[in-house]
Amino acid sequence: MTESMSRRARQQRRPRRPVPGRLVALAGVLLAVVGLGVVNNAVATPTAAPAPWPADGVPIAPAGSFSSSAFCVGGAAGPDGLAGTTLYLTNTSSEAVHGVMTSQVAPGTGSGATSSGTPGAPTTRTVVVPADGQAAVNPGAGLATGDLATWFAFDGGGVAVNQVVSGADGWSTAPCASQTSASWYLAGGSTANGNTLTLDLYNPSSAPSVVDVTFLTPSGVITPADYQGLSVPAGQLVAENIGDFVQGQGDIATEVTAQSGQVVAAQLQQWAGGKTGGIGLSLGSPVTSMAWYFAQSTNTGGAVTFHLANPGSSPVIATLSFGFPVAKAVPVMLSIPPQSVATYVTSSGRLPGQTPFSTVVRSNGALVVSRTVEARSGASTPPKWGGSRGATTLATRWLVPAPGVSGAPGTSGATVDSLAVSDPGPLAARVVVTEAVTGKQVAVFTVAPASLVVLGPSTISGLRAFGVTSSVPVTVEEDSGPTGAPGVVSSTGMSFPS
Amino acid sequence: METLAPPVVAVVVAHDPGPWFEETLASFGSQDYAELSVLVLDNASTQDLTARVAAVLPTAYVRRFEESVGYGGISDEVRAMVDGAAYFLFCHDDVAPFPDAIHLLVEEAYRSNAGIVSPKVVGWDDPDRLVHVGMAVDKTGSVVDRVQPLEIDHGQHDAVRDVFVAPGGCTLVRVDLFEALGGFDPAIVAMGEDLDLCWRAQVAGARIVVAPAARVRHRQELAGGTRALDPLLLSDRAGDDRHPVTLQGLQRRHELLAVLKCYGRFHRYRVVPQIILLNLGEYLVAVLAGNRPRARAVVHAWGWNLRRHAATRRQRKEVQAHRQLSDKEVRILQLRGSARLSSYTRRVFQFGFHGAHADELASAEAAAGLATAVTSTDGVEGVPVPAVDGDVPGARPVLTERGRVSGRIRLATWVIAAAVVVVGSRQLLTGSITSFAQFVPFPKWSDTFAQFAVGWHPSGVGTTAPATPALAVAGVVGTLLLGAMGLTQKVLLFGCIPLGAWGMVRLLRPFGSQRASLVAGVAYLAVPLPYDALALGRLGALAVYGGGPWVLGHLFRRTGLAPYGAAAVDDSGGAELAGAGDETESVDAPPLRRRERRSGQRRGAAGLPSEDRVGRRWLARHRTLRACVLLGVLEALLVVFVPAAAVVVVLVGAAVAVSSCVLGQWSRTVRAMWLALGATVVAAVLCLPWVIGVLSAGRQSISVFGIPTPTSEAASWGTLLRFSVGPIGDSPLTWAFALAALLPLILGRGTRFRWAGRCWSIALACWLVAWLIGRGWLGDLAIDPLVLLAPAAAAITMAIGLGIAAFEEDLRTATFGWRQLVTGVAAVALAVGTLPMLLSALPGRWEMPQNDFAQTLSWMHASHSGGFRVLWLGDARSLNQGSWSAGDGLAYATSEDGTPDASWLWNGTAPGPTAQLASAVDLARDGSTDRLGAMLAPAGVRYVVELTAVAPVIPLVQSPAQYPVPADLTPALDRQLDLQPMFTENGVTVFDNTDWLPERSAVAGSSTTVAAAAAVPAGSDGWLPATGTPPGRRVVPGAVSVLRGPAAQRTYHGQVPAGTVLVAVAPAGRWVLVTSNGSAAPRKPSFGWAAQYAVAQPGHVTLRFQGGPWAPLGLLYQVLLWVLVAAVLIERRRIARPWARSASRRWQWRRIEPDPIPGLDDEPTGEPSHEGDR
Repeated sequence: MTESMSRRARQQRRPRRPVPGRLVALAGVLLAVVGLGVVNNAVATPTAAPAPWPADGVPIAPAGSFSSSAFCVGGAAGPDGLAGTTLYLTNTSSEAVHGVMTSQVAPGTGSGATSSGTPGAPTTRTVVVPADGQAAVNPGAGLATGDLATWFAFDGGGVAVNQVVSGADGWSTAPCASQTSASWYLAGGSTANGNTLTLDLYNPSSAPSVVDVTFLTPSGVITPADYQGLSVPAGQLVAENIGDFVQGQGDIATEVTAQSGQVVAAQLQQWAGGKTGGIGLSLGSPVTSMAWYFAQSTNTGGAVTFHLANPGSSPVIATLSFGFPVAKAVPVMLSIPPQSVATYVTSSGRLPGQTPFSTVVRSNGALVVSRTVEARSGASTPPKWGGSRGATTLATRWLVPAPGVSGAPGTSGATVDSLAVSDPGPLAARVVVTEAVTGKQVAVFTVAPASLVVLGPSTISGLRAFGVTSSVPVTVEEDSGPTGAPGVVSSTGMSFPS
Repeated sequence: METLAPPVVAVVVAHDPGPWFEETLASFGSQDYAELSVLVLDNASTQDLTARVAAVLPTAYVRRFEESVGYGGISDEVRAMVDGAAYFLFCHDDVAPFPDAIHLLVEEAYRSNAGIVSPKVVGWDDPDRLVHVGMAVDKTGSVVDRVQPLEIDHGQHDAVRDVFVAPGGCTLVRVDLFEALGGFDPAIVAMGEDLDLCWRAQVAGARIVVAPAARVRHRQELAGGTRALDPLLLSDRAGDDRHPVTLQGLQRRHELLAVLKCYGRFHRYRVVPQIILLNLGEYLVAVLAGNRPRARAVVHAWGWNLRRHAATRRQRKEVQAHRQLSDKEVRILQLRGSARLSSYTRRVFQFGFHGAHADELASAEAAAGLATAVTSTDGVEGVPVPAVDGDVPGARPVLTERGRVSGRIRLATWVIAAAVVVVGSRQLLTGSITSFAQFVPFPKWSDTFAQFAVGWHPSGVGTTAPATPALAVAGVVGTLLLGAMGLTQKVLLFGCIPLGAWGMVRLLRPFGSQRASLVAGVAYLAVPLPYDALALGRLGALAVYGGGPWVLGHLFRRTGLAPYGAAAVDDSGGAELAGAGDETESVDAPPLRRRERRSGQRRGAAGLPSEDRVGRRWLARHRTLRACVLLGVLEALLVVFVPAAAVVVVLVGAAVAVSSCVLGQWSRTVRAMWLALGATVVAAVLCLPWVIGVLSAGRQSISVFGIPTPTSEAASWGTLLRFSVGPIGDSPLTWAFALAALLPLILGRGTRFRWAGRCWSIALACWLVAWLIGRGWLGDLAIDPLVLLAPAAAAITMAIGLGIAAFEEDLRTATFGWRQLVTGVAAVALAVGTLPMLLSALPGRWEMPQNDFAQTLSWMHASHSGGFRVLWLGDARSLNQGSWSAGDGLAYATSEDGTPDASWLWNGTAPGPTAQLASAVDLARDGSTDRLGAMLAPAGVRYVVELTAVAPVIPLVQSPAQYPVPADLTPALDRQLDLQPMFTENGVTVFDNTDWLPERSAVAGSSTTVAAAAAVPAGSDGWLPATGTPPGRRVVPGAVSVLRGPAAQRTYHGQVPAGTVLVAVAPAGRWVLVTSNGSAAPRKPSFGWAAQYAVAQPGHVTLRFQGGPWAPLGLLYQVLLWVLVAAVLIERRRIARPWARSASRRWQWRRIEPDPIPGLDDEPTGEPSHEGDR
C-alpha cells in the first residue's frame, strides 16, 4: 500500500469535523433571500401615478401660472346672430391678470362671410381682469355676423371664463374650455322636429388640424364623408350644421377625433320655437368616462332626460343612481350597445316630483352622458328646453360663475336660482360657500354621503360667482333663471386643480 | 602525389569554447579529405585559443579578433583572408564532422551542382538522434526543421534532396557563390544567418541540397540555450537592460529581415501585410497566455527592422541585382501557409492553450536561469544576458490533481462558449450597432479628444464642467484602431464579455482547480446580465461586468487570506508570508509560486540598476499604496464610463468586511474595505478635474450615479436574484445560478467555504442595495440595477466555481450519500440555468433592436433653418445621452441639430441654466402654461421629443424595452398651443415648437425691440411673456438665423446685419463676438442666462468660445498623471528612474538605513549595493 493510499484510508476513518459557521452562514443566506422575498411581496409595489383627469376640459389654471388660455366656442356675433354671446371673466387670483382676446367668426355662417368662404380678419384686443374681480366682454363687437370663437391668452392664471348665449328662443350658459384636445365627445343633440344642431370646431393653434366627426344615433352610426378629414385651419373656427347630414334624429351623440392637431368643440342646440323652444350651449367633453355626475335635477312636470352614448366597441352596462336630500332611489340599469345611444327619462313617474335629486351614472365602460330638460307644457317663460353636460370630475374646490355680472347680465333678468352641492362619495362633506369676489362666506353645511344640498334663492340669488370648498370631493351645479323650469339653464362648476 | 580535389577551407568560428573544442579540432584533423585547410577565427574569446588549437591541430590557422563582431561578420573576414579555395565550410566551434563528412559534402556538391550543401546534423552525445537534415521555410520566413526533436535516425532522411535552408553549424558553400552574394549579412550576429544566406542563394539561382551521407555531430550550445550570446553583440539598442533581446527575438527579427530583403516588390507588398496580421494575432495570443518573451520578440523584430530600414533597402537592391529566380519560383520551394501558425494550432489541439505555451516558457525560464549563471560565473556585472522576463513563468498555482482538466477539453469548452457568444452576437458583430439608449455611435476619434480637452460641452445649453475622461479613453482606443470608431464601439461593448470571463477564470485560479475556473468562467458567460445589458443598451453595466471579477481579485488579494494570501506575498516581498501561514484554512490551499519574489531575485541578479531597485524597494515598502494605485487605476477606467462603479467597489469592499461577522478574520477582511476606499480616492485623484466638476454640483452631485427612475418600474427581489432584469433569461430557470451557488456553503470546507460565504455576502449586499434603490428608499441615490448586479453575478459565479472545487477536494473522503446528490442537483441546475441564454443566442442579436430613433428622426439633421436644440423627455434609460432629473422619474436632456452621438453620453452633473427647461416642462405639467414652446424658445429648442421606449416599437419586428413617462406629461404636451405634434410612432412623439428661436439669431435695426423682447420680467425666472404674440410667431419678432455651422462647435463665422445678435449658449460670459473690425461686440444678458451682442455695422463676425486657464491646466494634470501612472505600472525605466533617483537622494539625505526586505534585497554575491554605487 502506498503512502498516499494509507493516508487516504486514515482520512476515511477519521470522522468529518463540522465546519464552524456553516449553519450560521447557510441560515443567514437563506434568511436573507427568503426574508427579503417576503418583504418584497408584503410591501406593495409602487404603481405609476394615473394620468390626471382632464377635468372636463375646464380646469382653472393655477394663480401663479406663466400663462393660461380660455376658448369660448359656440356663440354668435353680430346683431343678427342667433345667439348673441357675452363672456364673463372671473379672476380668482389676488393680482390683476392681463390678456389678449382674439375673436374669430367662422366662414360662411353669416352675412359677414366673404364670398369665397374665407374668414374675416380676427379682432384682437387686450383685456384686464382685476384682482379678485370680474369683467364682462362682448367678443362679437365689431365683427360681422356669424358663429363665433374667442380665445383669451392670459399672462397669468386663476381666471375662469364662462359664456352666455341668448337669442329669440331663450338663453343658455356654459363654461369656456381652458384646454384643447384631440378628441371631444358630445351627447344629447337633436335634429328632429325642426331642431337645429350646430357643431363648432375651433383650432387656436398655429398649425392646421384635421378632424373626423362621427355621429351616434338611434339609427346607427353616421360617418358623413364630408366630415372625415375635415380641415380646421390654424386659428380658425369651423361651424357645421349637423342637420345637413344627420336628419330627423332625436338623440345624437357626436364624436370628434383629430387626426392631427388639437381643437375645441362645442355644440349649440336650438329647439324649434313655439311652446317648446329653447337653446342649449354645451362644451364637449375631451374624454369619455365611466362616471358622470349631475348635482341637481328636478322633475317639475316636464321631462328630465339623460342621454347616454357609448362610443366604444363593446356593450356597456350603466347604472343610474339617484340621491335625494333624505333618501335614495333604486338605481336604474341600462344596457347600451356599442356605438349607440340610449336615453332615460326621469319624469315618467319613476322619481318624485318637485324634489331636486342628484344623479350619478356609473358604467363598466366609458360613456358620454348629458341631460336635457323640458319644461312642462304650461310653462310660459322661455327657454323651455335646455341641455347641459354632466361632470366627470369630483373636486374639493369649485368656482361657480354666474350668468352675468352686476350691471351686465347674460340675459334680461338673469339670476342664480339655486346652487347644489352633491356628494357621491362615502364620506360626508363639509362645505363652505363664499362669494368669489369678496370672499364673504355665504353658507356652511354638511352634505351626507350620496346626497345633495341645494341652496335656494334666499341664499344665493343675484349675479354673484361663488366659491365652493369641501372637505371631500363633491360636484357642484348651479341653476339659473329665468327659465321655464329648473334645470333648463344650468351649468356645472369649474374646478380648481388639486 | 598531386591531388585534383578542390581545395576546401573549414572556417571555425570560436568564442570561449568549452572543453569540447579539442574534440572539434580533432575531428577536422581526422578528415579523409586531402585538400582541407582549417582556419579558426577566434571571436574575442576571453582567453586566446591559439595554444589550444596548436595543441590539437597544429596545421590550422588561427586568427584572433579582439572585438566580438558576430558570426556573420567574422565569417565574412574569410573572403579577404583566403585565396584560391573552391569551397568554404563554415562551422561552429561545437561541431564535429565525421571523418568522411567533408569529402562526401564536396562530392555531393559536384554531383548535384549545388551551391550550398548541408550535412546530416546529429546529436553530439547521441549520433543516433537527428538534429537537422536541412530545413524548410514558409513565405513569412519562419524556419521549420524537417525532423522532429530528438528523432531517431533510422535512415528515413538519407536521400539527397533540395532544401531551402542549410542549417548553420556546418555548411559547405561554394566560394564563387559566396563572393557573389557578398558573404553573410554582418548585421545578423546570430540566429538566422543561414536563412539569410540561403534565401539570397536561392534568389541567385543556386541550388541547396542536403547530403545525409555526410554526418556532423553538433552540441547546439547557443541555440539550445546552454551558452549565452556575447552581450556586447547586443549593444545596438535592440533591447533595454530590463528586457534584453532573446534568441527568439534575434530569430524573429532576422526572419523578418530576410523577408524584407529577399522578396521583390510584388511579393513584399503581398506577404508583409499577412505577416503583420499574423504577428498581431501572435502578439495577442502571447499576451493572453502570459508568454511575454514571445510577445516582446514580435515587437522587437518590427522595431529593429524599422530602425534599419534604410540599410535593408540597400541590401534589397543588391539582392535584386543578383536575381535569377523570380519570387514565384522561389515560393515553389517554400512551404505553403504559415508554418508557425500550423505548428501552434497543432500544439494547442494536442496540449491545450497553456500547454502549448508551457514548454516554451519552461525552456525560456531554464535558459534565463542558465544565462544568469553563466553571466555570474563569467563575472560580467551589470550587463544583461539574453534571458526571458521573469514575470512570465510560474505565475500559476500548483494545480490539484483532481482539478486538472486536459487542455483539449478546456480548449473545446472555451471554443464552444466563445462560439455561443459569437453566434448570439453575429448580427451585431457583422453589422452596425443600433443607436439606442447608451449605445450611440462615437464621433470621429479626433472629436472625442477635442470634446475632452476643450473645456466646453454643448450638453444642455452649454457647460464648462470638465469632461469625463471617458471621451479620452474612447479616443485612445479609437486611435489604436486607426480611427475606426464603429469598431471602437464594438470593442468597448463586446470586449467586456470575454474580459469578464477571463477575469473570472483568474479569480478562481488560486484555488488550484482548472475545472473550477473553467466552470466559473463559463457560468459567468451564461449569466443573462451582459446580454440584458446589450438588449437594454446599458454601457455601464457591461463595463462593470467586464471589470467586476478584476476588482474582486484585487480586493481578495488585499485580504491576504488563503489562497489569495500567497499573492499578498507579491506585495510584501515575503513580509506577510508568515501571516498568511497563520491561517488555518491555508493548510489545504495549493501553494502559489512566489512569482514576484523570484522575479525580484532574478532581476537583481541580472544587474538591475540601483535606482530601479530603490524604486521597487519603495513600492514594496508601500505595498498598500501600490495596491491602491493598481485598483484605483482599474476603478478609474470603470468610473469614467460608469461613475456608479465607485459605489460598487466600496460596496463590495464593505461586504467582504461585513462577512467577517459570520466568518471571522475581521482584521484581514477589513483591509478590502480600506483598499476599496483608498482605490476610490486614487481614482478620484486620477480624474480630479472631472470630480471637482461633479462635486461643484453640490447636492445634485449624487445624480452622477444615475437618474431616478419610476419606482413602479422597480425590479422585484426575485428578478434581481435571477439576474433577469431584461428580456434575456426572463425565465424561472435562471434561479439555477443562485441554487448552484449554495453548493460550496453546503459542502465546502476551509478556504472554499469561507470564500463562498464572502461571495454570498457580496451578492446579498448588491442585491439588497439594488432592491432598495428600486423602491426609492435610498433617496436620490439611483444606480442602474444592472450595474449593481454585475458584481453580484461575479460573486455568485465564483461561488459556483468554489462549489466545483469543494466537490473535488472536500468530497474525497466522504462516503456516497446526500452530498453527492446535492452536487448532482447543483450541476443539473447550472446546466439548466444556461438554457435561457443559449436560447436567446439563436436570433443572433440579443434582442437588440434593429431600428432606432436615429434613423426615424434622421430628418432632423436635414433642417436648414439654423442651429436648434432638441429637448428630449423620457425615462433616463430611454435617452441617448446624459440627462438630468425632472422629477417623478422623468429625465430631460438636449441635443443639437438632431439626434446625439456618444459625446453627449456624459454631461455635466449640474444642469445650470438648462434647469430652466425642466422648470418650463414642470409648469406645463402643472397646467401653469399652455405656451411651453415660447418658454423653450430662448434656448433654441425647436423640437420636443417624448420617448417612451429605447427604440421604435414595431409589432412583430421588435419589442424594445419600454419605459413610460409620467402620466401627466403627454396630456400636458398635447395641450400646448405652440407645440405641434408632427411625428408619432410607438415609442416616440415629436412636437414641433412653432415659437422656436434659432440658437444664433439676429434682429436687424434698433435693439430696442430685441431688448424689450429679451428683457426678463421681474420674478419670471427668465421666461418671456408669450401672451403678446399668437402661437407660430417667434418670441423675438424679426429674428433670423445667423452664424450657421455644424453642431457643438466652439467657433462660428458668418454675416450679420447691424442690430442685435442673440446667442443661446451658456455660460454666456465665455463667448465673445468679434466683429468685422476685430473688436469684441458689447455683450448684455438676455433671457437671464444667454447673451445678446450689439453689432453696430453689418459684416462678417466670429462667435468664439474663450475658455479660461482651468481647462488646459486640468488637461495637463490628467495627461501627466495618467502617463506617470501608466509608466510606473508598466515599469518603464526612463520615467521611473528619475523618480527612483530622487527617492535615493532623499534617503541619502535622511541617512536612514532601510531594513532589508527578504527576497527583494537579496543581491547576488559580489554585486555592489546601490549604496556602494554611490
